[in-house]
Amino acid sequence: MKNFKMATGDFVFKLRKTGWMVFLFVLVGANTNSVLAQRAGALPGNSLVNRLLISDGPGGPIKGGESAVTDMLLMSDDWVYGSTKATWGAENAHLFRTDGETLEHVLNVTSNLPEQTMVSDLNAYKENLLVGSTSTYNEIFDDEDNSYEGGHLFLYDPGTDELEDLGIIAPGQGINCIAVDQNREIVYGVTYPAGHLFSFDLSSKSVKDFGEVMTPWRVEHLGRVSWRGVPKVLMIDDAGTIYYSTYYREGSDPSVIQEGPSASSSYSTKEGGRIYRLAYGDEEPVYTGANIPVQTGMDSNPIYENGIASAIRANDGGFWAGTINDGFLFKFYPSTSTVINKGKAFQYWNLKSLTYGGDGKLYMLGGRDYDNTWLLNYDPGVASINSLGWPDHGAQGSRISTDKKGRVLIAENRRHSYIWVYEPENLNR
Amino acid sequence: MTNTVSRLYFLAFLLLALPVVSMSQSIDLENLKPIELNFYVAEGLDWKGESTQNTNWNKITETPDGKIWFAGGDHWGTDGNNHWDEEDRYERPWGFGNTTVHYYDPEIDKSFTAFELNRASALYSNAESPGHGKIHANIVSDSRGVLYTAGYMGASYTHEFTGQYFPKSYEGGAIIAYDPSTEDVDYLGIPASYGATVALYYDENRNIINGLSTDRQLFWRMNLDTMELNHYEAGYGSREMIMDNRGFCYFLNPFGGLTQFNPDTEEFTDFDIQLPGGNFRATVVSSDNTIYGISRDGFVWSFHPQTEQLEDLGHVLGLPDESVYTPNIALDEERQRLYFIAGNHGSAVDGHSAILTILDLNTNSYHWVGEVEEVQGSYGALVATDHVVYFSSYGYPYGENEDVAEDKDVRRPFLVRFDPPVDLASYEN
Repeated sequence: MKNFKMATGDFVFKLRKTGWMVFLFVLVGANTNSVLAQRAGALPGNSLVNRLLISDGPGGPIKGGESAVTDMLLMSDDWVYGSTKATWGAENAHLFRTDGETLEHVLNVTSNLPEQTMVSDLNAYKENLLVGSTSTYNEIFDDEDNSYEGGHLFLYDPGTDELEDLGIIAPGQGINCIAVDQNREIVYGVTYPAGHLFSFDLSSKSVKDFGEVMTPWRVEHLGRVSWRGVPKVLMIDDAGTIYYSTYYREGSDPSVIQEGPSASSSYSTKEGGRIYRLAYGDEEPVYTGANIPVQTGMDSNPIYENGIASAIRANDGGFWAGTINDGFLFKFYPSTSTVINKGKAFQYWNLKSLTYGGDGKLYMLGGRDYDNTWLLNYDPGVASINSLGWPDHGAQGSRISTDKKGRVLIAENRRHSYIWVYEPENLNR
Repeated sequence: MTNTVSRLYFLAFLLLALPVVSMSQSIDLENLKPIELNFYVAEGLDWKGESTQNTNWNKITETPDGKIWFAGGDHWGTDGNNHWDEEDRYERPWGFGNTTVHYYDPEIDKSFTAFELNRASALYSNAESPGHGKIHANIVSDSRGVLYTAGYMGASYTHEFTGQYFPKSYEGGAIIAYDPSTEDVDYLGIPASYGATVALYYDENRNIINGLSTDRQLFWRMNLDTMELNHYEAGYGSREMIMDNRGFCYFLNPFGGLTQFNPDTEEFTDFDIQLPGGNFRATVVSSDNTIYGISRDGFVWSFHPQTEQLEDLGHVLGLPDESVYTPNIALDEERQRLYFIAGNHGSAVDGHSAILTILDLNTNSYHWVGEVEEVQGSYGALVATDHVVYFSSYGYPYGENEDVAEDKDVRRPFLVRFDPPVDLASYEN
């Protein structure tokens, strides 16, 4: 634990003290209506009780470009552990932890696992261990001559501050997401960009490749390359069956979009959002017959990525999940392959992170990187889905997690990322 | 020999003592004189027989032919324009939220309207979909005199992105190129959909426009050869970006320092510095790439990115405990002076605002010329090749008794001209 940062001493908060009135005038203009307009969409100020800067700046240990948060989870030692990726040419990925009051640097993952610029996913394992997966920049995957060795799985023990390298899963491939079968001590994952489903036996250290579950399509958008369609989330039930969404194929290569007058017919081979399952012992995933909610006609549109962005276990054996394309909240019941669409409480896409607040409500983070970062919730008591607001109009949220006090932490994925601490109890005060 | 040593000692004394001079000076507000300067009003955008022009937040430029380019805007969108009623928004069939670009010809001491931004960007603006209520970005010129600029609507970040009705559907800050020699207007598109543009620079060597959108603090680049558009991230609460003569761009970071963007490697670097006053509001770059800047609260500094030398040049009024909002700065390299109009947009010290200020960089001493009558805000500033200083401003240029305006409440955008003396002795404070 190499660094310790106070929460409220940062520069912008100092600015508030000295130049608040000027700030308002500058941003808004001088009339009352404008001030009200400025507030549109923002979470009530008293509900945000803290803001923590993850980046340490040029002095490190978490330098600029190394603080984009990829995952967070509350562990049994009452700390929320988080992972980062390097962005915009930076080289290091880190683990950090926070209790909502302070933030500590835990580990430079890249110094332990060279070339790994991203911790792509974190899961809890046993008492207080973390299982993590790694990957690297899309630009590296896009370079045919790259020498990237491949993404690792690792175990980290916060008690001893030791990282165990579990090795490379697939040469030259990163890992997009993982899930842990706690009973059988198996880690499941999906490689990136190849889109292969694999398992890793934590006892025998053996890897099993279940083959390609998605033929991703390469996209260049606004100067950035990526591969769409690769499952971002694996759900696992108590029986050890995993579930994920991908695209349904009818024999032809879905990554090839045909040209010419019959081009539209080729889209039928790109029907996304199909939920598949792999039961323990099975050799091949099968289609459950369930599809994620989507606007009619959009499931086969090649521009959109139709899949699951986030998922969390529900108390009744189902899973709460959020979609990429429309940002719908839905519940998936594996036992009956039923999908219930709860709708959406905002106008954006990408419901990308879920957590239970201390008030028993399901909290959701929505919006693409271009959009406002919306915090939403679902109250299971009255079956109401609600839009709460954004922490700041400049925020670019990526993950949420609940801390030990039941507050919701909203983390960013920027060069210098912040974490906002949302206190649900203060919302109506 | 003795003389040489004495001179060297004296020179060393000056180098050490001069920064102290500016730091120890403070303005004598009791003896501050009102001054009258020549105004050139941005007229047009008429509705019901009266100009709707209201504001002016853009940076200004001088073309090779000596003309000075500035703008006016009706400020009529989410920002509001209190002179008009709510009904006017709907009664006016077209042109709600609009701005015009003008030039001042010093040879004949007259200003003219060049083009209107909504028409130039094919934007049908009305109450349901307001247009560019002003220009916030820079108006820049290339070596041939071709101008580039972009649109802005206040509080654009409070809107939704899905074409909902007012005030949620601003299309975004359109980029315009204008060739005064042919009066040809080219609409180059909207680099950040729905986002207002707050800063713009043209990198002539690379034929790239660099810009910053207020929504998500998004930094983008538009390659005019290929029309390729790249999105990056950059800002942390600042509306300013800087470009030096090499095409490197600079942004505020959360530590109150500068982050540099390398246009060739597309990588960001955080300088380990803290700018006086933190968040900067106006900057100017000298021919040797020294950046001069002023913070929101009026702290002046210089920074050379290649030597990483930062110099604190004191507070613009010598009142560091006062927040003196000063969003303008102009550099006369030959005479080694910086010019400001200090105290804008409601920011006043003991009732005084719009204080014309000169910082003599030869002696590091401030000279306060006087309080510019009728000026309420000044955002753009430059020193022309003939040493005349111009400020892009808004306020009440007609006073109370002119026929043109109904009353003093009618605010107008205009260009302010100041002809500074060669000798600053008359401004000794």
